[in-house]
Amino acid sequence: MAEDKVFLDPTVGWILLALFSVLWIGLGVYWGRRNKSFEDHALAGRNVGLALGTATAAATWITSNTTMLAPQFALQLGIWGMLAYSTAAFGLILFAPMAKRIRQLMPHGYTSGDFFRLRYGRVAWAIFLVFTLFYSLTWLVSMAMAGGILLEALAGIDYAWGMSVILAVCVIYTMRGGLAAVIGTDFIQSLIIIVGICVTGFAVLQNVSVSEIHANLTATKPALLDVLFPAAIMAIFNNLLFGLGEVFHNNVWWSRAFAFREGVASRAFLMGGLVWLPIPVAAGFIALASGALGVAVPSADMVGPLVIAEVLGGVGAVAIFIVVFCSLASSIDSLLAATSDLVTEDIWRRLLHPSSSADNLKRTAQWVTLGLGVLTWLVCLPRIGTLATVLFFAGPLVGSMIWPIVTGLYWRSANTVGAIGAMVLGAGVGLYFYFAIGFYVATLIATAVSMVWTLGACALAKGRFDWTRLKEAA
Amino acid sequence: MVAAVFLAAGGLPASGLAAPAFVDDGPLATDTGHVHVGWTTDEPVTLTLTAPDGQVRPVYNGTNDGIFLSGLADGEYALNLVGESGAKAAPLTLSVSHQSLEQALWLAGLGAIVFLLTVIVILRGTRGEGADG
Repeated sequence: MAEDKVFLDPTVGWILLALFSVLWIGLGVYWGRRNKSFEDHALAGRNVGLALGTATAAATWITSNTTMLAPQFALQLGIWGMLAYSTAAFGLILFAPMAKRIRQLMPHGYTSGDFFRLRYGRVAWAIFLVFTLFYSLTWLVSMAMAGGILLEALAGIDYAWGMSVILAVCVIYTMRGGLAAVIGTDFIQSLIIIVGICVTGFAVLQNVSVSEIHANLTATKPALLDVLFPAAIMAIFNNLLFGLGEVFHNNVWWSRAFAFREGVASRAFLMGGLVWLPIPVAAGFIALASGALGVAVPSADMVGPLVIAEVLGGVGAVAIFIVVFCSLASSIDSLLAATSDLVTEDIWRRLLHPSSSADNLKRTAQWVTLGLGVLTWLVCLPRIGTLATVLFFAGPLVGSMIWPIVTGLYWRSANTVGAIGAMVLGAGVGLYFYFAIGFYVATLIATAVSMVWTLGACALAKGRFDWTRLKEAA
Repeated sequence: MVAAVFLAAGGLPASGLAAPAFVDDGPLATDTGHVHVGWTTDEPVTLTLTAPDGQVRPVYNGTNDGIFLSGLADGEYALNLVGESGAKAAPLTLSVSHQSLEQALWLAGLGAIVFLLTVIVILRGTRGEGADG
């Protein structure tokens, strides 16, 4: 039978928050000292090696969703739910060959927006910008809100203070250090997160055996072990395609494809995906053990911290605090950097000030980062709980962009009518089914509709795209 | 004697504490096998779940004001909440009826096709075998 649990002392929480804040800001300032131009700031001089590349791919994909939502998925949807979450790794794995292709086709490219503008024209580009900014801003808001809520739940730090500190720290070091600082801190954060999750997994197994967990689930939560669990079956490919859509379209990943050294991108994304793949399984396993450990779960999103605090006590509370802080920072900084680069390159430079100098663009990107941080802070401050769930609406939007991007990179017959129709129809039909059936089918249906439209448009196309049009000068 | 009858009926206990009560009047229903059950209470409570086969098991004991239940199979369940003083909440029923398995398998099949075609386009394109690459 389940009992109540407690977490970390607030003073310890504040000390940890202060220590890691100083560390990240210090490293950001240090790594940013060599940035002279927009290219240095936005793309780390296009010279990121394999180790840092792999770490940043894995760390950025390990969000607080991975450490918090993966256990929630396992608790709600069982073994299938756990595996469904881990299929998001295919986003990184399949982006590996695409990243190589992107570097070949667009040697001077900056953003995923550049691709849409040059490949499909301004209307498709505008739709893409609306979709991607909606996705990026809701992801950013959901991460910052999660930061405040989790720090309050874990250590009793007031929501407004916790959210403000995490956001401020990420804004400061991203402004100062650009992508180089983001990738450098990602390297350290990924190591901390992986060690933390592995230690927790082994600690759980020290407290309860797999056979005990299985016996408990069979007796009390039989559907979680059911191979024919309907909602979980539907979630598998929906989650997989959500992951593909997120990675394929977002500038977080395109900016890394442009930033990695020649020949590094495909290997870095492949290895990053393989490193990430088992993490949701390990995190989900923690949730499945909650019943056998006798942990009461008042709300599904708190199952991870509750189990960790149960098996590791005070040390566990410190560990989960650090892992959560690192997960949040590694995603918030990447989103801030990639979104500010997108706004600077696609809106400021391409639409408003085409003759901006490299130094001016760098300064603009820094101010945009600060502006994004302030905007996010203002949206998060009232703590409107339903805002975080808005991120789920993005599933159909990102799913509808998969086929325009994939065919746009490999097929000369891919065309503007196909891309626009695929995005608008796919997203619209997907959102309809979001409400008609549930979130666990919306991305799947959006991608399927988008695919059919794209294939039809390609089959009927008469013109053939000239790849050299993507080689726009910087 | 009167107090004992009152207690058994779930009214105000002798200690003066309000009897525990579920937040939802019910009945609860879910098509995913998971549900959040919330309650109000001034004292520690014990929550028990009666399965469709009549088996009763305790699922919570403590001072929280809710619990997340998941992994429940199809059927009608009964939830009973009892305070430390013996005061009882009005029982709550929970109906679990999972979504259509046929629909789930069709959608999974559709997902597999979309995913496989995506992989084929990427891999063929990478090898320079695209239809018009």
